[in-house]
This record gives sequence, C-alpha cells and structure tokens, in this order.
Amino acid sequence: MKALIGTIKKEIQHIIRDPRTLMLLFAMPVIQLLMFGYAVRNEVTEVDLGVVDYQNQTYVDELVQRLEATGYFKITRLPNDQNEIYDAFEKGKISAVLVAKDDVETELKRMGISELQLLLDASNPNLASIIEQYVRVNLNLHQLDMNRFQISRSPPVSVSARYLFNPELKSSWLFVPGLISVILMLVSTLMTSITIAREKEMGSIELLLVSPLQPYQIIIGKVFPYLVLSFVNVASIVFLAITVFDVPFVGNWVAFWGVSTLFILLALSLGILISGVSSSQLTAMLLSMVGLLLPTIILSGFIFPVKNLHIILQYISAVIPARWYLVVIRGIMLRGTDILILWKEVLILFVMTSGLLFMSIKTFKERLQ
Amino acid sequence: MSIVSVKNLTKKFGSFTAVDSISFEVDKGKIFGFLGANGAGKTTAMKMLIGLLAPTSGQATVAGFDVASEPESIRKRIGYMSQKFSLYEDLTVRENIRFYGGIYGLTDEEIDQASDKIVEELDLQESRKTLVASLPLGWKQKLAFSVASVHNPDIIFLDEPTGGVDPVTRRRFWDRIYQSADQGVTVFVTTHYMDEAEYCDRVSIMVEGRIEALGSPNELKTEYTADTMDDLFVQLVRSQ
Repeated sequence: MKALIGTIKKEIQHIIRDPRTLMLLFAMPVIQLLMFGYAVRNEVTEVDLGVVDYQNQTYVDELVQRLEATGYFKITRLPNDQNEIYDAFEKGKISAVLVAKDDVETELKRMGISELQLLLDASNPNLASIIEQYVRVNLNLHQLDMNRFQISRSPPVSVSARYLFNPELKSSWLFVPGLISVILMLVSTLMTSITIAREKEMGSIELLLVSPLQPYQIIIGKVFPYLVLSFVNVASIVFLAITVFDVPFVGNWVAFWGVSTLFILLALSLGILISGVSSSQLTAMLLSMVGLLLPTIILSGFIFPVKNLHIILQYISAVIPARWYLVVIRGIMLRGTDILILWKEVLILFVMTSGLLFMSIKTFKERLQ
Repeated sequence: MSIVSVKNLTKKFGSFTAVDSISFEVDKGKIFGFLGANGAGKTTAMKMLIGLLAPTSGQATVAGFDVASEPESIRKRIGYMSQKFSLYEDLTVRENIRFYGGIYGLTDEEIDQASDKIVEELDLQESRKTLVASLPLGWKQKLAFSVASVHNPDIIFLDEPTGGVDPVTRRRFWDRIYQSADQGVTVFVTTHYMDEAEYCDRVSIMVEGRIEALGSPNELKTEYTADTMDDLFVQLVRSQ
C-alpha cells in the first residue's frame, strides 16, 4: 500500500513539474466548452434575407414584417434585377432572396392561391434548408393569421409543434454531453497512454518492473492521478454548462456519476492498452488522436446523429464507446431518463470496460516476456 | 559461496539465439564483470537474471532463488541500474531517493536515513532539492548507483553504467563500486570498456551469445598470453 502511494505521489510530481500539460488539462475543458457553446451552433440567426417586391404589396409587407420580428432575419430590399440579385449572392451580402410576383395580391383575391419564390444560397446546404424551413413556418403562421377572419378557409388539420426537453433548440445543450466524452477520451486515454509510453521510452519502466512492485500497482500508480483529473474535468464541464449555458440537469446525479465513472475506467483502460502496443510517446499520441479522438467526435453522435451516418459507419459507431455513453448521459441530463430504462447501453459500456481492462492488464504483463 | 548460479541458460527470439547455453557462477561479495561487444547478448542474459525476460531453457538462481519460478523473491534482494535510464529527471534528488525507497518497502525513517547518507556521501547537500535534470552526468550516475542500492540489496546489477562519461568520472564511479563490494555487496556489471575489466575480481567474455572466456583478469591474460584485457578481447573475437 505504501509502495502504491509512493508511485501515485511520483506521478503527481511528474504532472505538477510539467506546467504546460497541467494548464492544458485544466484549461482544455473550459476552452472547448466555450468554443462549442458559443462558436459552434446549429441554429441560424441573422439570416441576410433579400426581398424583391416591386409593387410593395401589403400581403408581402406583412409577411416580411413577421419574418423580421422573429429576430432571425435581417431584411434588405432589392430591386427586381437578376444581375443585382446574383451580385448580392456572390458578394455574400445575402443568403436568401424572397421574390414576389407583381400580382400576388390580385391572385390571392381572385383565386385564393398564389406563389412566392425563394432563392437560396446552397453552397452551405444545411444553412439553405434551415432558412427554407424558417420561411415556410412563418408563411404558414402568416396564412393562419389571415385565415382567422375567414373561418371557411382554415385548413382542416394543422400541426402545432412543441419542442420537449430543449424548447429553444439550443445546440449547446446537445454539445455538453458530447464534450464530456471527448474530454474524457483526451484526458484519460491520451494522457494515460502518453505517461506510460514515456516510461517505456525513457527505459524507466524496466526499473519499475525489476522492483517488487506488482504490475497492478504500477498501473494504478500511473492511472490514479488521471482518474482524479477526469472527475475534476467532468465536474467543471457540468458546472460551467449549468451556470453559463443554462443547460438543465433534470436526471439523477448518482446515475450520472456512476455511468461516468464506468466510462472513465473504460477510457483509462484504453489508454493502458494503447501504451502497451506503442513504444514511444509519439506513437501513443497518434494512436489516441487518430484512432480514438476523431471517431469519438465524428461517429459517436456528438455532432452528427448516428442515424444520419452511412450504414457502414453506423456499424463502426457501435464499437465507439462514446456513442453509448452519450445516449445515457443525454438521457439523464436532458430528459431525466431513469438509468434502468437505459440498461442496454450501460450493459454495453460495462462489457466494453471489463473487456478492455482485462486486455490492457494482459498486454501489460505479456510485455515482460 | 555463489550468489548467482547459471547453468545452460538460453534465450531465443524466434530462430535467433541471443544467449546460447551459458553457464557461470558469481561469488558473494565479488565484482563480476560481464564483458562482450555490443550485441553479444550481455544485456539479454542480464535481463533473464533480474526477471525482465523469461529464459527459453536452462536454469539460473539469484540469491538462492530460481529466476523462472521465484522472481518475486529475487526482486527484493537485487538492485538494478539500467543503461538507458537511471533517475527521473523531473524529480529532485530527494524525491528520487524517496520514490525508490518507497517501492522497495522502506519505512519513512529508513528512507530519511538513507537519503541523508547518500546526500552526504555524494556531497550533494547543496543540491538535494534541485531537479536531477540539472546535475552533471557523472553525479547522476553515482547518484543512480546509490539509489539502486538504497534498499541494501545482496547483489546489484549494473548495465553499462559508465557509458558516455570521461575516464576520470569513470574511475570515480568504480571507486564507488569498490566501496559497495567492501561492504559485502556483490556487483554484477556489464561493460564493453576492456580497461574496466581489470577492476573486476572475475570476468566472463561473451561473443555471439556464448561465453568464450571465464576467470580472473590475470588468469585469463596468462591463459591467452595477452598483455591487456583489450588484446585478449580482440584475440577472442578474431578467432570466431
């Protein structure tokens, strides 16, 4: 036990003596959270919308006012000139143009139907389709308002949507759980694999192996400080998320920490495993970065929903631990889902953790031969 | 009385035989030089004795325990200073001593005593709180030797301990080795500096995995009618 405490102490000294890494470890979660919370957003604000309505028709005016009132659009009036419209697109002054024919109002009065044209800059397809939806939704609302005074005209069935669990559709709410898993992969897996690979690279691992220390003592001594760091990081992300980004935490804290501990153990075992197959710090770093970090960001559902992935990638994502962890903590944090309902995901994580832990200790021992 | 006893010890990596059926004995309290060119199999043989590699065949005992079946008992009784790494550079002198003392199960009191003794012996009072990285190489090696013997081992294994240092520093390092041997500690040292062989009580010379010569430096020089160990070594390698 004393020997174990000694190795832990020594590892802490290594971490403290390297202030750059230390700062990185504590600053990274904060920087990433701010980056994803403020900079990376799926929701669209301040769309530069051009409007072409040569006749200044009342119907169009009212619609434009409604769009402007949502706060999502910045309206620019444009002349009915093809060249100037394209010019505005090319210069990036506008993302979309709403074009009204001269006789929209007359047609509406005479036949009850008419058309508006929406030109969209689809060089960013996501943005274009989001803008289209915004305009459509507002057009429908506008239509409903108009029809309120003409009961016969109101459509027989209408959809009224309510966004549950994230009423304002804030993307930071979605990012926070994903960010926790990415940070854990970074701190637990990357740092653990580097620190063990460092002992191999320097040759000091031989001295540890020659000593009466048991392999498990060597591993725990190396890993324990990073376990503590991981907890601190998760806590700081959750704290910032709740205080700065108003991300709700509706579920059970015990369940959250339980499953997070499981995931941290998994990430640490992965780190030991990676260090077992790499002989230098650089190899360990590249393996962790390319082999783990990128798949975790891309395939776990952190940013792109797993269901939108190509079918082959969906299969691959099944072996990405973060994918299952994400489902569980999103459920707990945002929906308050009972952990028992998510038993399948937790079981998968548990099996993965046990398997990796077993494999990592085995490779660590085999290295001696 | 022999503290190391090796019989037909062999290590194969695939079809390559790194250590080819070597046999020798090391007497307690003596300095045993394990000589050979780079790649002759010295380090591999030593790694089998300290439990870092499993032998392919043959037997070896260290401090009375079998290397294959009782490595745990051996570990507490040996000290090891590797060729590649000696001390943690980002820890201070004291922290290094403390760490090694700790993993060998010394009590705080024992560690403090040992650490005071080492600091005094090496005249490191001024720099006990400085990082090892800032010590000169010669000091580092002497400190590494002291640290490797902090738990009073029966035998201490040194793998090319004087690599890359000047002759004066090497001489001082050997003074330190003599000091330990005088206190009854057996020293098992690999080297490819043939002048260092003269400092040993007994030597073995390995060529391509086999032990080609075994005895005291004087015996060997007479046997092979060589003036120096260097001549002897060249003679052995040429005859291959």
